Amino acid sequence: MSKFFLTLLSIIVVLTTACHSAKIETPTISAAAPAHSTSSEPAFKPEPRPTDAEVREAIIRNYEDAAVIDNSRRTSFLVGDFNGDNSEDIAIVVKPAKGKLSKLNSEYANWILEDPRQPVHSKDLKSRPAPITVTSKDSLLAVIHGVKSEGWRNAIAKQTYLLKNAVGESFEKQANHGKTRFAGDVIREKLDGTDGIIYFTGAKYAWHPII
Amino acid sequence: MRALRFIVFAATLAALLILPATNRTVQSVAGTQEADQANIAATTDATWTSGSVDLEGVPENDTTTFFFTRKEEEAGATTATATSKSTASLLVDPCAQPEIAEAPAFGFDDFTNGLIDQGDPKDPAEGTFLADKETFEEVDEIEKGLGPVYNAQSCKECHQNPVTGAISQINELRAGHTVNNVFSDAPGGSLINQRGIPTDNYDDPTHKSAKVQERVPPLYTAGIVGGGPPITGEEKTRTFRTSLNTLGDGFVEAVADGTLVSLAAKQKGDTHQEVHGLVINVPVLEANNKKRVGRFGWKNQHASLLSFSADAYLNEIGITNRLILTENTSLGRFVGFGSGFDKVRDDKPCIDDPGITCGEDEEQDIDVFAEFMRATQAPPQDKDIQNDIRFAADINIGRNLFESMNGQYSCSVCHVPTLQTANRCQPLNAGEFPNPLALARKRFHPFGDFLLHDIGTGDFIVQNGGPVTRTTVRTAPLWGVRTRVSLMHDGETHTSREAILRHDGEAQQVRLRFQALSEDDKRRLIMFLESL
Repeated sequence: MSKFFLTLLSIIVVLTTACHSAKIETPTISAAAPAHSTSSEPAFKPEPRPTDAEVREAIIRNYEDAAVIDNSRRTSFLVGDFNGDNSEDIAIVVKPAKGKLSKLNSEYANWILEDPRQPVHSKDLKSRPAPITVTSKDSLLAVIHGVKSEGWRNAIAKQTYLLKNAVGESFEKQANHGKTRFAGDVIREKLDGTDGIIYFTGAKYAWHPII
Repeated sequence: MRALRFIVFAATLAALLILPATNRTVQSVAGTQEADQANIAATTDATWTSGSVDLEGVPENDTTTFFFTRKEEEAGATTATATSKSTASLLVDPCAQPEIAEAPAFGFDDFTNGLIDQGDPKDPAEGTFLADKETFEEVDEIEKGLGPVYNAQSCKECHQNPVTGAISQINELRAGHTVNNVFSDAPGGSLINQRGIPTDNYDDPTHKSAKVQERVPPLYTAGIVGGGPPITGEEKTRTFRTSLNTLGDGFVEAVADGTLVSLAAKQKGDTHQEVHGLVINVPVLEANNKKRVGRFGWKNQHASLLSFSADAYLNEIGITNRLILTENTSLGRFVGFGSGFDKVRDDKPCIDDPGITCGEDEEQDIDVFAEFMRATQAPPQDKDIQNDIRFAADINIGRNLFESMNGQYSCSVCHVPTLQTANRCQPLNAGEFPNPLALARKRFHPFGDFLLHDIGTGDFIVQNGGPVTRTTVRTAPLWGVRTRVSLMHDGETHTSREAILRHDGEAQQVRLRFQALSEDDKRRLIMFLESL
């Protein structure tokens, strides 16, 4: 008799607890945000150092004959996961090829031409920013987003941003380590004597001076 | 003894069967009271699975109520009218099925789609389109319940260009933080309201302050509200979201769950799984939180226009209503009635139905908002451009490219040109809304699939769809896109070409095909977009 009731009681306790647990699945709102950090290291495994031929191939794949690598610089490219999608990207310093300015500035171009230092929304309508145009003297930063594990070497890695006024001194990749609000690595450099970073906002590349 | 054992066993069994049922009831009531779950990051995925919701009269392998191309639609037209009835029988039989027909698409005319009467422009009677529109345009004040935190004083502030119900340049801001790919809301929810009502100064009550204003944390001095601690911890995951069009949304609501489920399956099959729209089930607030396939909002966080209205009235304007009676917080801090900030009670009865609690929305405006949206016509395409002899041929080629590039699938696999609404009288919205004649068996052209996709643009916010939706946004329906200055969900892109080039992830193959087009064909495709 007592065994029967004990067994029955156990079943009731187990089932009631289960019902209660199922009921409190709904997430609750926290009253104050705890301190937190963003995941820092990219999950992708960096590939071996790019060869000159690979970098050249990436430029030709994306810009055909319109841009050439600017070899006058000590560092002409950086690799990192700049858009934070766990695929290796490359940022290459390029210059316009002779006679190809119109192609670089084409309204049908397969790249997005941007000036990371130019505000998108001008506060003063009288000083509306001029359209971004590549000139023959420009040094440009071509950022090519990688695809899957092959990264920027992938033959279909063709999402690319061409950045004007973005090539400066002390040019280096900096792992994010949660320092920016975006997941990707950043490009640390000095532009016109100002230290700062170029980072991907999720939509475009932007400049953030570090004062 | 045996009899006693049997009685105890039977009583226990009965209790065990009744207990969960009682809990469900309690839960659903509590759920209705705290029904703002659409804006709270769910920890479990809401992914649709077979049998999880009523498909509303359309089987999950249907191919007759959506069309990726004009060719498919033409083929579908020959088989579509088999069960339809004559106009005369429609009047006699309240559930006779009408012929399949084009949905009225003159949404910029400010004219009803036939769901309700238009009304007299000088003095529209209650329940007419023009009267509903006036309510949609009504400016709410603090005395009515505006705020304490809010984004706008009227629906039309976000839905007005070029007419009431359409889009605007206004962006909503959401924020939270992400640790190891897990998103957590900013305190109180990811929506950061950009406006707040004036509040009393503590030190000098003769002057006003702005203590309830939300901002993106950290806010080291914000703890002054309610005497709480400072809000530390930066909310690094942030995104803007553009205001969405609501014209023609009655037709979107009238699409059966089965259509969206079938569309997702065909999309996956036609693209060898490259494109795989995500279908999620979300609560219908007016149906005691029963689930339906989500389709409204950038995260598909709502399935019915009434739920959407209730959400927006609370979260965008700050007015509690019969479906959501809990006032918004200011970054998780209570600022509702009783805090000293909000002067309007949230337990007021409805004027027309005192048995129901309406909160600050005593006149039940949420029902009027929903009725207005249901009665709008679809946004029109620009026929002047499409028929202009200078552009027509190019636009036609552009449309063909939109449907197929290089012999393969193209933009239209997600920006779906044609959807068809459910049958007349079909119970929609978890049984709460029998499909009316004006919305039944209508074909319309949203150039959207109302599914969630990861195209590499984020927005990294989780709402009621759960973690699986973190990197997804709903396909932007392109109807009326010519009225937009800022494109994509975040409004961060300003030309069609750049918008296309931003497509990655599931849309990568189509973007590559676009990049491979000649300059002329790129121009033609963009000309077609300019005509939408």
